Amino acid sequence: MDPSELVDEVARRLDTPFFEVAVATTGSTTLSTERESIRNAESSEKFVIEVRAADGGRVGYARSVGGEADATIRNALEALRLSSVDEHFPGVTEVAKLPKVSGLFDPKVSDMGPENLADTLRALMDAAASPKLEVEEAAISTSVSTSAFANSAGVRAEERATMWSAALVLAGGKMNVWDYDGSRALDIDIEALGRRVRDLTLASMKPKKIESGRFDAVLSQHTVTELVSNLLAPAVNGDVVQRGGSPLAERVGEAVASHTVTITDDGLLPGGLVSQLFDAEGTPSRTTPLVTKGVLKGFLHDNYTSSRGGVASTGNCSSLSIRPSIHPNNIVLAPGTLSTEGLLSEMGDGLHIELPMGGFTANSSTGDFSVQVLAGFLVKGGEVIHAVRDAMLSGNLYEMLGNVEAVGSEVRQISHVVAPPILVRDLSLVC
Amino acid sequence: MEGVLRKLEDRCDFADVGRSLVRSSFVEAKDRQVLTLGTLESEGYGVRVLVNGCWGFASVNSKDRLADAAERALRLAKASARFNTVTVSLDEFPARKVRHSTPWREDVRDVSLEEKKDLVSRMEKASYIDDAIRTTSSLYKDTHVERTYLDTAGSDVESAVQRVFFRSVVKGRQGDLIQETTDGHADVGGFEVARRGGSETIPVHAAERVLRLLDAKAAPGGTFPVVMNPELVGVFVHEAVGHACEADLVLAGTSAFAGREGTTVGSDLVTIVDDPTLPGYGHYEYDSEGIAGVRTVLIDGGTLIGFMNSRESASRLSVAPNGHGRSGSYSQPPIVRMSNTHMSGGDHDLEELFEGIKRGVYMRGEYGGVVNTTSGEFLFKSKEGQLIENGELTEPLRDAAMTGQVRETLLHVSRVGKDMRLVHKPGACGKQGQHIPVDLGGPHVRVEEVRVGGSV
Repeated sequence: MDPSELVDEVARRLDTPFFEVAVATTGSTTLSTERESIRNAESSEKFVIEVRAADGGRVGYARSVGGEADATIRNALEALRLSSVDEHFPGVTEVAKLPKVSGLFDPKVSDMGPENLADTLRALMDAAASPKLEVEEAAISTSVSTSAFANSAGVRAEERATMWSAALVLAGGKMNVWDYDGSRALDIDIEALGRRVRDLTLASMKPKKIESGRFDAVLSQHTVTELVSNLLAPAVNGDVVQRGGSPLAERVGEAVASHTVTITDDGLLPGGLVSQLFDAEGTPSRTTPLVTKGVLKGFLHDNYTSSRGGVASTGNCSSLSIRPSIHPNNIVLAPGTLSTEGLLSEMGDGLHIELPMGGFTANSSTGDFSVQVLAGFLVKGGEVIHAVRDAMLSGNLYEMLGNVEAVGSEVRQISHVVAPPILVRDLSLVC
Repeated sequence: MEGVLRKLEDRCDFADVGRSLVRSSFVEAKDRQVLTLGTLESEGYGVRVLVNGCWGFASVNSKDRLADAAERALRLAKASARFNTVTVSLDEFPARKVRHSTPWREDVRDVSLEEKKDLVSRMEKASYIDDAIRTTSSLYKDTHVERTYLDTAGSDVESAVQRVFFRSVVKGRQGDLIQETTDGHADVGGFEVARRGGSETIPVHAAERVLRLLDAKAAPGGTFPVVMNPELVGVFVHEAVGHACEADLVLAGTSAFAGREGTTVGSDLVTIVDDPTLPGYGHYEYDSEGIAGVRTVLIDGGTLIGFMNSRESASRLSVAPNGHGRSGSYSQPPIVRMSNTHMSGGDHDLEELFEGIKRGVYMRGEYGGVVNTTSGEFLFKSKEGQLIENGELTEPLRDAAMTGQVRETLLHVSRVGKDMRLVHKPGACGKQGQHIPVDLGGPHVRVEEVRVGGSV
């Protein structure tokens, strides 16, 4: 059934004072290889109904994958009956104009059949070919989704979106290097992706040991993403802030980074991988300043933390199931002017960290992190000398942000972070 | 399902169809207030075909769409067949006809949401043992799963299982320092798991750890002897050895253990086993290909013995299948997975593990980690540690990370404790986008040289 018709039908049948209904269909196809042969070719078609009903501050939730609207309504009402009154119950999103966000849907992505996808995989592997390297895995996937939302205040919203991504892992010697690209539109330069992984793998093949010590470093977009998504994203979550668990709580208006650093949460970024017209509660997307020229500006909220904290929702609700449920949209680090080469030459002596591993083990309550360096290089006088391996980069995100000397110009989106490389002074490396 | 399968018989080398019905309920509370009660239901079908030695898989939510899914699976397999240079064939395997239910005493579907809510309320209250404890959250979740598996060889396997987990997240604050810890319990079974499983002691343990972390110092950086507790041994064995012993990764050449069968990969104290028959959170009788799960020795006394496999990887390696083909849900094809992975116990009492260490680190709680199975490099982080000085435990530490090479680390295992146990934590293992419940464990273990990172 069409999501928009079903949302209307369920909304008509709910008679609780507050309710929210979401229906989504998603079709996706993924091909992935083992070395150079496709080992997995899968396609899925999924249909999900969610109902959250509320009455007198009590809330019940039900989700059904492939199930019946009747049972979902019944389950939500049963959960509602047994729930307790929540003093911070925020009601539901009021009707507001939805923004326009370009580049979320490309019909060419939904038209890609398995045969085209296989041809694209071939082009990716051909572009990466080198006698010294082997393909470990190549993967490509597409998805097309339609979602519809309605609530008791009369909000009614719909969105269609496409996504496609390609990934490649190459092995050379006993090590491997990976990269990927994702887009809403059929515009990934698949050959550039292949060449990029090839060149980085070749460059990483003969690492040398270096001594532990303190180093200046240029951190790639992957490295910035690893640290921002594991440390900054939880620290600007309005729920974590309100409950005293963020090292940034009570620091709005203070400098938390060097003046070169400006970070926003942008739900409206054209073609952004996490851009959307509205969030899980039907709140219109927006752009929220987080750090402006080093000064902390604000946090991310859904309706619940908005009500509890007396602030506006920033349109960052990620799910109806658990309350509150806050997730960043596109976290954008504003670019500077220097190319990666320019950053290396500005640094002089130090490290170029291309690929990190294990950022999720970081402590977001303090900002402390340790990441293993998968691909990194020793740099002298702005020139790469040799690859470095068996090294662990440690530090504290906030000390590090205070030591950002320059921000690069070459922006990439990796998952929900849109960032250029950065030049940072004085990081600890354990070898 | 039978009809769709019959129509596929002449159009492919092999096909199977899986159906799964899941019913789940959960209660979540934050800061002593129950905020969400909910239920989750799903029904779905997955169909897999092998055409000219290439797989295609498609899934749908309703029986009416199953014939369409079969067509899509055929098209995917044909697209792969046009592309592939390496194809697979499946060894014959006798058809299985089984009805099996992993026993539960108190059906989670018959226990009211109200009772589950009371449990979560009690967990929340139990966390507040000190003024430094500022915020908490607690989650209870149960799952009832019914699966049917049919294949073109005539197999018909029906199975049912229930799982329960609950966990507490506790944050404390002292001055500007915030520390957070998570603890929980998970097992196969009905609501009796929640009744007996320490729902009131786990929040207290989590809170006690937070208080210790608030007084702890940052870990030192350098190379030291390390004593790992059973949970870290379990996480290490799972991430560093288990994944490298998954036969699909071995065949893909992405396991550092590929081609090393029969060789020494650890000290003679190291024996590592994956055992789906053990009563742990990763327990199952039949895998997602309808094959009985078999206890599989991976490393025996330091020698690499064998790998976990699915039907495909078993055929390709010319060994018998051992029932490790699991899928995360009806919408995902089975791949090689772990169950309950652990290191076997040794001869030493706990105090003997610390004996003679001049300066070292005891890794004692809440872990995250990642391993590159190709290169064997790893990074593990222990939120809580303790300094070992002259054989005695002294200063509490926080955020101790360890890195190194898996093989070197296993070779440096010098003492293994008697106290092997599965940890029964709510854990899902992720691989290729599929998440499945697993358990892990081991005894306390001492390793002579480990790079520990803190600061230099």
